[in-house]
Amino acid sequence: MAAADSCDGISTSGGGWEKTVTLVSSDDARFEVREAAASLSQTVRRMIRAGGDGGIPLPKVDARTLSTVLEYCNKHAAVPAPAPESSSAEAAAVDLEWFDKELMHVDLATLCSLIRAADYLEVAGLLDLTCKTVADMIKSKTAEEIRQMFGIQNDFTPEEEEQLSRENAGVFE
Amino acid sequence: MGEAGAKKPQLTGPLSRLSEDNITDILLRLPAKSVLRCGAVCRAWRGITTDPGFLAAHARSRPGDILYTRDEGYYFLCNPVTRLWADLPRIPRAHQPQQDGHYYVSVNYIEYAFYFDIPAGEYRAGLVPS
Repeated sequence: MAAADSCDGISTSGGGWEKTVTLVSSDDARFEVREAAASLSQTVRRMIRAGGDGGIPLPKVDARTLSTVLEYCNKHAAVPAPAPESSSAEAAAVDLEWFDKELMHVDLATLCSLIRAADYLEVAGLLDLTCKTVADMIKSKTAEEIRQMFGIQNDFTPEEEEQLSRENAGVFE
Repeated sequence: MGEAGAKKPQLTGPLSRLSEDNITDILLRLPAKSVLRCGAVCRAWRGITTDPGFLAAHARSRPGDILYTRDEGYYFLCNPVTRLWADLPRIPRAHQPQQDGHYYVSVNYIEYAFYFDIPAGEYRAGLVPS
């Protein structure tokens, strides 16, 4: 039916024949991805079901960001669910953790683009990973350090600031 | 500051591209103390971190942040984000008949549940006599 229209081909990666879909970024770059990986995005999964011709348009994600998102999806979809407590399960978990950490070695602007993309594409694991990464950057910073880091303007009146520091006495050490 | 009427803070950094929901997602992943600090960053963040829905979600995702202390049969709790303390209603001393039915002893309780009840919007503790 219509659902098949958005499946543009098959690939031989991994030795088997796998269905692929084509995703189109806001700047018209086309990415052919295994359906299993693309389906980690709930948004894409719904669009695959709805069907359509000529690939799935993702007008809110540029090619650079989408390629990172797909790197994440490919890696995470590739990991089979091995028997728990087996040594291979442990090794896979360690490998995945290392992969995630490496993927997050990007600047803040890129991280923010990834958060927006993960939110729009509904890739829950990536949204969690990116938000946690930014949260870790904020965690031990003072309000002023956070403002500088993100370019946020302090819009409190001096009276309000006074009030805040009284309320939070002991927290701003 | 010469910008009368400007209601929204002018964000120039990378965060300007994030929605309020995105920022909420980030702040939800912070420990209580950091959330408190973030409330002093700007009005928008103050609004997010003091929103009851945010506080409830934060309490749910990090239950360890709720301090729950007993002192001689009294219970009280603390929410480190709002820094509010509250006493729980005092638990009446229960009595239980012994096997021979002749006398009663006071009963201590074991706590088996402590949670935020979303529909009721309140914390609840579950106790059973030990």
